[in-house]
Amino acid sequence: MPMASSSFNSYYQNPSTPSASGPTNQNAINSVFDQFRQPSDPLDEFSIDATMAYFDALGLQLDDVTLVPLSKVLGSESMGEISRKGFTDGWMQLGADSLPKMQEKLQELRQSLDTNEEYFKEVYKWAFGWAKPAGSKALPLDSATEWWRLLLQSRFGDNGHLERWLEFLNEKWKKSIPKDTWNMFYEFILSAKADPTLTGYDENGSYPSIIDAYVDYYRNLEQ
Amino acid sequence: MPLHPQTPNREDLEQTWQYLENGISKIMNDLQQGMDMKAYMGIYTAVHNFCTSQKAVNSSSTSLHHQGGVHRGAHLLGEDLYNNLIHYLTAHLAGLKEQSGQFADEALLGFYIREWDRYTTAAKYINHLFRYLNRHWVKREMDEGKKNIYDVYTLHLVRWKLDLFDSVQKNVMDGVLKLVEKQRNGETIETAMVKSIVDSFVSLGLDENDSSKSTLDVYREFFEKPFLEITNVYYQLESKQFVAENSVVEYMKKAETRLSEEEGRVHVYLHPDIMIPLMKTCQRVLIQEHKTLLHDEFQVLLNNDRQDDLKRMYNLLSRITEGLEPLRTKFEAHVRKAGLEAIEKVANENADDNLEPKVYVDALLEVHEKYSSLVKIAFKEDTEFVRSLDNACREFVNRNKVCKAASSKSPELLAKYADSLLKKSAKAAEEADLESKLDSIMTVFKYVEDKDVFQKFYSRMLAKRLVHATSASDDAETSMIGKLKDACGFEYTNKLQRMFQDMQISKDLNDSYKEWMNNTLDEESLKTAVDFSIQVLGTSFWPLTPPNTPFNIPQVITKTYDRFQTFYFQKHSGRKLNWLWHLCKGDVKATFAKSSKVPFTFHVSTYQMAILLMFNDATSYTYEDIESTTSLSRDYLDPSLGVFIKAKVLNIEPASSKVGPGTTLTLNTDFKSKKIRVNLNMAVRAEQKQETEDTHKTIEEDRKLLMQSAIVRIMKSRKKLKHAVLVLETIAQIKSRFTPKVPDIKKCIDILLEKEYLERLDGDRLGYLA
Repeated sequence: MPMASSSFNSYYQNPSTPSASGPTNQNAINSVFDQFRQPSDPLDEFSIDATMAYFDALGLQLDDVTLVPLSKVLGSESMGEISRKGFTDGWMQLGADSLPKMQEKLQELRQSLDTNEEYFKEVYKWAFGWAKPAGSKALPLDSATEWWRLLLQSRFGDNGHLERWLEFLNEKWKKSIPKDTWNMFYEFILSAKADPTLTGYDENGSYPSIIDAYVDYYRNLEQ
Repeated sequence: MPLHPQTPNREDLEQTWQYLENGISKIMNDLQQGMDMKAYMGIYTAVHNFCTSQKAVNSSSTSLHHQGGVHRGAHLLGEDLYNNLIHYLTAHLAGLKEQSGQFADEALLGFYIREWDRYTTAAKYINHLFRYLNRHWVKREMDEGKKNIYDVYTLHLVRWKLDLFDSVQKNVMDGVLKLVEKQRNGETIETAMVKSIVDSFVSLGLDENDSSKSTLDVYREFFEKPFLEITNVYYQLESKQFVAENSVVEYMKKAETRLSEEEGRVHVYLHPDIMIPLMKTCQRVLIQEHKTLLHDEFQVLLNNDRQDDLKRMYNLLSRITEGLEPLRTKFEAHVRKAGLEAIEKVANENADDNLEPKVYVDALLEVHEKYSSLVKIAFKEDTEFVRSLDNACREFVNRNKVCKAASSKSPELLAKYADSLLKKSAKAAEEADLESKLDSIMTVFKYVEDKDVFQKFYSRMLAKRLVHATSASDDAETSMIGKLKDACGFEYTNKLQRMFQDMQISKDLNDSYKEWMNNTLDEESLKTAVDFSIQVLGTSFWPLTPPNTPFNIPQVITKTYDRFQTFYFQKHSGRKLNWLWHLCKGDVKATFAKSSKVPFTFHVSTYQMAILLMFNDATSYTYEDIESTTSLSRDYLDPSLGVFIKAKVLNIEPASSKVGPGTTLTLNTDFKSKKIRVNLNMAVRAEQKQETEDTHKTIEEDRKLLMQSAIVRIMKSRKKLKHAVLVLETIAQIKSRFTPKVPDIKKCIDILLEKEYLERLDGDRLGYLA
């Protein structure tokens, strides 16, 4: 992992961070899990309802981007799915065994996401596999639209490219989003931050053709 | 001649010198009167005696020229003699210098040459007489490294240069230059004079370090330099005046003449050393300084097809550096324009669909032919001009008015033209003529960018020619494929060659099928068997598609159909046969017509055959009957029936209605025909158009596959590659088939990423996933 993410890495390497008061208790984590598991759920899994209740208890809203890194930490395979193993491993690594400590850690995750570009990129790329329907290679356009807004709006919303991109996709593309497009759009929106008029964009460069088509669309609008 | 009767006292310099001076003077001034052997030997001996005497009598006071005053034996004696000789020469030359004052121009040249000849001839004799001095004293002095001591002959030259040449050369050169100017102005001059002057100037060039060698220094400084200067001035003036009063073409002729005159001048009477600088000077004044004028005229000459003048201009401008560059640019633009205009003309005269391939290709060829012969004749096949021609042709072949809608129009028409040449027809070309026409197809082919399109159309039409046996000549077919192979490689023609192989294999197959039938069938079955021949063609080599209509095989041929399959599957188990009914044909005998006792033979397609055979059972059917019996789709049924109605084999009811449901078709027993054999198997025009469209469609698909496989091939061998490099390499690999566009390549990369043949790595790189 690059240096920039070392602050996050420290979670894994050093479970007893200063905020943790004493060694983390795996049993305590398990009992938090059981506290939210619904009686009708399988023994080692949260149903959607259980996940919602748990997020609610953490004070995590569904429109809060932090739910993505949290899902990643807890080894969630798709939206709303959390297993006991993922839950305990995740919290053990972060070093939190009670709801208040978990809230504290959640705060730290939020901050890492805001300040650490490399970490954000890692979460962003991970999100594609997590958000897409199981067995499908691509992300349906409407959910891609939602996730892009959630992940990128606050970071890259300023120059209007995000909204225009979504408008372009819904007007012209009208198909689901392949992984390469998802990944490369991050690179694109990052470079558009430095070059909002896209004057330096090279159609012969390595971006996928869908982004070329977007740039063409954008330039036609601007004329 | 008052020579001293006997040799002088060997030890008396004064006496010796007087004796010698007398002799030398005679040699110098009166050699033509001759000198007897005795006198000659006398001088020779006197020099020898003097140089070998132990003691010289004379003292410093009596010495004529030597001021040293110290006796140093033989050594000193030689020096005395040497100095006296110098003194004599200086005095002689001073006399000449004075005399020269009386002469000017040609007279001066005459005087100079005369005196030079006399002087140098004498020098040779004197040198010989003083041989003893040369061998001993002079040699010793030179060995000791003394400067300014020369053998006696060279001493003559050195003195001439110092005592005469330096003061008269300017006047002599003036004379020379005036003479040359006279000649340039058209007068006849005595060129030998100039040549003698040149020789004299050249002889005066002595190597400071080794007097036995000569250099061109004197000649270059005193002859070449003023000669070049005056030449420059002369032509500057002349050319300026000439262009003011004459056309550019006239000027080019003038310059050409002048350049060859000057070259001739060098050969006749100048030193070869002047050739390069003289030509440079002339080229600068005559061409370089007028090059803008010439460049401006080029377009005019091109427009008027002035081949000779273009050649003249090329020759002139090729003599200066960078002289041709503007010509090449203009030439390329001109040829491109000519090509575009020629195509626009034929496009305007013929509607899109009616444009004959021959007309189009001829128009392309005509422009190419015209300018390629210009390059040959006027531009000496200069590689740069050849390149300009190629660039221009590539432009107008691929991007002209006809190609506007689709750049693939050129290869399509070219392939169709090839088909028209290779197909049997009434006006079949002579063999030699055909060969040269095929060559000219290759001329255009060379410029075609979408070579894959040509290949597609060509292979389709070749397939037709082979299947329908309409090819005019096997030799011509083979020759054409050979040409394509030479141009594009084995892979390009592989399938075409396989098609020929299949034809051969089918021939053998028919033979062994006949043999098989003879062995397996009883006599009765053999008698009733339908005449049958077949071509079995490999699916992957032939651009043929299965029929797109259902078809009920008529009863009459089902036996044959089954029999052949039995035979074939026995031979090749596991193979599959697709019957291409739409390409099959047959002859049927028609006995229904009352007009003729001899039955007609109808040449029909298999579909038509199925329809006609129905009329063996009844003479009239409804459209719907025929449709359900044959199962043919209307796309095929309607035109097939149409031909019968038009040929009056069948009558339609209600009369003159369009073929279709609700009509009834009846056998026309009044059928008449002048010929016994009637060809009713005619290709349907709509079908052809559809085919063209299909061909274009498959081209697009094939291109995508071609690009993808190229990308995968490259990535497989390179593993990791920058995106931009991959794009370039893909273009390089595919260029020989067609020119891929970057966005299309990128789309293929997208597809391969999605299919996970490739992955994205950091920093614009792509990786190959095995």
